[in-house]
Amino acid sequence: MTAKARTPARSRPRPSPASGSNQDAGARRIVLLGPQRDRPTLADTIIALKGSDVLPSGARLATVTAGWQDREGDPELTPVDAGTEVVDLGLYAGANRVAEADPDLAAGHHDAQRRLRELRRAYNLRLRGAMSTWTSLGAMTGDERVLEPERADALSSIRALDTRHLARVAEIRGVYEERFRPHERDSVQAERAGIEQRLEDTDGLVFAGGHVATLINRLRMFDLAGLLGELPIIAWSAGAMALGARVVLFHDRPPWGPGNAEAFEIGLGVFDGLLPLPHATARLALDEPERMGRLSRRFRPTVCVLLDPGTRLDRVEGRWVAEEARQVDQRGTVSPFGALAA
Amino acid sequence: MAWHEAAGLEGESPMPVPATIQELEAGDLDAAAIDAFLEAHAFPLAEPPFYTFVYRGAADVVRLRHWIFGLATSLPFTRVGRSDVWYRTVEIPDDSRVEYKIEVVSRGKAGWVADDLNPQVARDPFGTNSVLAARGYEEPEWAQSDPGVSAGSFDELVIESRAFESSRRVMVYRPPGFRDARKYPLLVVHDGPEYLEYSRLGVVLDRLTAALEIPAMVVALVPPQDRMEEYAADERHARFVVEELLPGLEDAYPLRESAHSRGLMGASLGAVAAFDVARRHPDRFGALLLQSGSFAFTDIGDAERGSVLEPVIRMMNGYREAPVRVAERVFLSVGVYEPLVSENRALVPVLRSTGMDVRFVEARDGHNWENWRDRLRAGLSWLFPGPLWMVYE
Repeated sequence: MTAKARTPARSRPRPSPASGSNQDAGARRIVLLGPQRDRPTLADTIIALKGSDVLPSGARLATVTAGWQDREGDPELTPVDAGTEVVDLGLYAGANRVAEADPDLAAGHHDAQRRLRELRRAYNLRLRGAMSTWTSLGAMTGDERVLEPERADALSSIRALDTRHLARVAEIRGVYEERFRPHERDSVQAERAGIEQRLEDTDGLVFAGGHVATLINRLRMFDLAGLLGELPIIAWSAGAMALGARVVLFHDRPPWGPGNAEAFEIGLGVFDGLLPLPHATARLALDEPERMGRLSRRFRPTVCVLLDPGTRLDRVEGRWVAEEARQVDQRGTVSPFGALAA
Repeated sequence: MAWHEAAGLEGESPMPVPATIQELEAGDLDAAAIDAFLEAHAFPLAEPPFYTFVYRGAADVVRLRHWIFGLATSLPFTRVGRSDVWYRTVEIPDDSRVEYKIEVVSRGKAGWVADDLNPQVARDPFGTNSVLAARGYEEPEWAQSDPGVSAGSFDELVIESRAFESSRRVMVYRPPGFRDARKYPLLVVHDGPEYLEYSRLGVVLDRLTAALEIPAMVVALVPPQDRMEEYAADERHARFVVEELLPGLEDAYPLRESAHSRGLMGASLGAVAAFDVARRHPDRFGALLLQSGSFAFTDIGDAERGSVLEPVIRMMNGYREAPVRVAERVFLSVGVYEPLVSENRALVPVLRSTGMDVRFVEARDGHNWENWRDRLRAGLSWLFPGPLWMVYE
């Protein structure tokens, strides 16, 4: 490694017990970006962070590209500036090695995944009916004093369904973790030690996009939340989604027709209060305010933020500030993102 | 004027002569003028919603032979003056795709030929048809081969069938990036080789997989040996698929174990075969993709539709009387220009009454392989949604 100008060690990762929690009280610098493929802004963002002393001039960044599965570690996925060195944490390959070395754990994991898939099908079936009812109530005309409480109750039911679903997800995962204790197994600990080693002397983390379920499973398998320390984070697309409190899947224009946004998973909770919606213009029916309004009201008070190419949101000293970012309000109107207390 | 009147169901076309034909008629009808006319225009002449088919050649009678159920199957052309140019104008709704041939009767002999003036053709096991793409119809981009997209590979699996007392050769599509360590959904396709050849199923699978619209999946392409018998609600076929083909595939490929991840597909009599397998074994396949199924039935009496359909009618009559859930989800498609449209429409509420999740799609097309190709994206992605929902690059 060539000699680099470095700031004093200040934010090194600190190993912690497997907690899944990463409360940082808003102190950590987090940057959420729009998708990088068509309009890469990662390099410029790193340069800007170096300029504001968040990163040292010869920064060494750990990348998480597990969401890209077999392409994990491909430098094209994380195009950094010339003065930055990257090391990929290799979570996807690491999980594959764990599955090979520890068939019992792999079988337990597959079984838990099967249960989660079934639970998800049941949730989506219930959600479809509940969303259809709420939408129909919205179109119903009559005495608003009668109808409005019914609409509000329909919405409450959906919010309760989302909450309950995520509790059931946690319950199924809890049963798996209680039985197989993945974080205490040699196979996982050996990989986690390697990840810790790769995190040594890094100045920040970069979470790329990809398959969000693959990503979050790997993050959880190695309890990456417990290794983040106070390092600054740059994330986009699936990476940004996985770091929030909830992972919400959405697409209003898939070839099989628009579905309902889905409370899919509990995120790492590195930040709260924002619901990142990557590729928003491509994936969302932004020209349908009623539909957008339903999305916003369903997940309030979390703010629905549109992460389109070129977007950048920074959490600075506990507040989110943005360039080019937009948000959706409860009426479904898309407007420039306003500063938000983290 | 009602459109069937405009189309001229009987006799000569009552339609006004198109301006382009009037211009031709007004000029010198010599060979050079006709050559210039044919060179200057694309055919059929399109003035949506009217389309004029043109034929040039010596003939006594020229007719349009098409596969639009609802129009007279034979529509006579009109001769332009004393030239060897003939034409016929038909009103065709937007978004339609129509396959046709031209019947030429000359010196007492009749023959059907492709439209030499129209380069758009479709192939099927019986030959080549000319194609009229009406305003609004576009051949889907996702059905075009793309050298930038990885292609799947094909294996051959031989099943020694006790049900049929013969060997059955099955082609198996493995998706690009296939790995033994993964588990794949399975789709069993009736008339598989025809789907590959005439509906570009291989290209479609490659493209939809690359676009994340369907998951990487293993697809068994099953040819029949005696189609009219085996696909017509034949118990042996269901036994072959469930007791022989499925275990054979599960031995050879890493497949997901649940019915939810298995599907059956077919068109025409192949759709009947797919449905009948699911009907006889309702716990084995979660998804059905049924295209232009020959779901013949009667409410009373005999249909008199030929011996091939007799077992189908018996099966469908029984099912309509006591419908049961045969899969989780069913994608049903049919062309509005095919005679089977009413029977497919009639099946939808019957299927839904059992609690199955049913999606029904009609298209302005006929009973042909390109109609079935054009519905594959909607059907496959609905039955087997790909990781698109999960991937945020």
